[in-house]
Amino acid sequence: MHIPDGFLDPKTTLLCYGISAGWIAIALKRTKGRLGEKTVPLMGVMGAFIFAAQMFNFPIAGGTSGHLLGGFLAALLLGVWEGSTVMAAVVLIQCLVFQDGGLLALGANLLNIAILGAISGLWIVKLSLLRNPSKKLFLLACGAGAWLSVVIPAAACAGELGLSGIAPWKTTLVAMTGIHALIGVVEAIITILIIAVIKKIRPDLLRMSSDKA
Amino acid sequence: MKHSYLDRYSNLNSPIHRADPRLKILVALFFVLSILLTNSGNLLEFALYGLIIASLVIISRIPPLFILKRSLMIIPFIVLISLFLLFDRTGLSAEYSGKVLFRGIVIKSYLAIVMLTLLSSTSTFPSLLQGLQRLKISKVFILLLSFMYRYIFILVDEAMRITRGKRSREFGAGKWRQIKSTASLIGILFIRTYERGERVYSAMCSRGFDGTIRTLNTIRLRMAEILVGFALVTIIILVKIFTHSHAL
Repeated sequence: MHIPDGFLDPKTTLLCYGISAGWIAIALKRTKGRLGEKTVPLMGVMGAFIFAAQMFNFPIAGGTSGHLLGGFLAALLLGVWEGSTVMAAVVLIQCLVFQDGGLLALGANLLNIAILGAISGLWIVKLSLLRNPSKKLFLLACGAGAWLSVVIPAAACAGELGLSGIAPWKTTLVAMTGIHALIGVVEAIITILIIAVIKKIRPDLLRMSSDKA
Repeated sequence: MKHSYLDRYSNLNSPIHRADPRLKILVALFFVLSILLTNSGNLLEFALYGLIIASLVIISRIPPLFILKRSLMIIPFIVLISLFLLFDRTGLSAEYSGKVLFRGIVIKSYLAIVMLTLLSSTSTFPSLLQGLQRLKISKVFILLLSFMYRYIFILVDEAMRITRGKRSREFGAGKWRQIKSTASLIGILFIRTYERGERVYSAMCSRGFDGTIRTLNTIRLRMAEILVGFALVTIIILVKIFTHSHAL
């Protein structure tokens, strides 16, 4: 879903850069105030973890395989602000080191993958926590959150392409959300399984982030 | 380490490798911007840009085959877009036909990705970070990035080791079991990473870490480099002016 350069027009490029830069500036301020300098090493290591987690391949139907995207997982484990900052660092490194996504399209990729990927699913989990959920319900909410964290960025990506006049709105939206609705199911299943393991071994790590969020 | 491909050519020695990272980032941004602002039908302009990039690649001494291989990464996106253009063309610019528009996008994104590959393989990541920091990107964010970069290799190594162990143990296992065991390995990797992060932090505290990292300032903007950068920008602008009056 990383948009390369050449697909977005200047207006969209600028708009996305503005939103992303603003969000990350606020997020940095909030994380700094809350946990002090301790966050930085921890967040750095967690960003590296997201990278490593994306290395694991999961077999899907017919010889294809997929991997975790991790935006929702980062937000759940670290909180919205920290999660989106870590994902922003991941996206920036993907751009500068791996050429995943363009230099000018970086603003849009930050917006889609780092920001929307981190914030679009967490509210469901927060909502479920208000009702003191059973383990099953909590995991289900996590799955729904992970699904949304894939589908909403895909829709935003389609929107940006449409805004740039590159691809027609409706078809792009239907196709992008359609494909990612399936990818989202994989993300949801993997995320649920990962969270279940963490909940079993170190439940305190999960509790901390949900208190913060 | 099995990921030496990451920084593979960024330690070569060429004028571009030696240049100030700030200058490289700014010139690359400017170049990509002017590529983006090119009319899709203006083939002459694209060709001249291609020529400039090709000469930069030659100056940088990076094997062209490597650049070619890395730049193929945009193919999936191009396929995706072409599918959309195949199905429905309502609301698209009336000035150009879908074919010209599509060709324009392919050329633009290809030139841009070659430029980006050139930028990242002529600069080490720490030097890019130094450049970004001098360009007034938030210090905390730079610190975060440098931590991340340091630990990516360790964790990716660990992830690869875990995967190898898993594969040799569950040869022939069902798909669902494989998925489940991989997920729990990621969960365990998270816990280990978290604990590692806490250890790293306390180790740093005991060595007097107070939130800032002091590094030697190794980048220096030389006058000659500024002139070369300026010349490059001027050439790009001249290409733009020239091709606008001689549009094909």
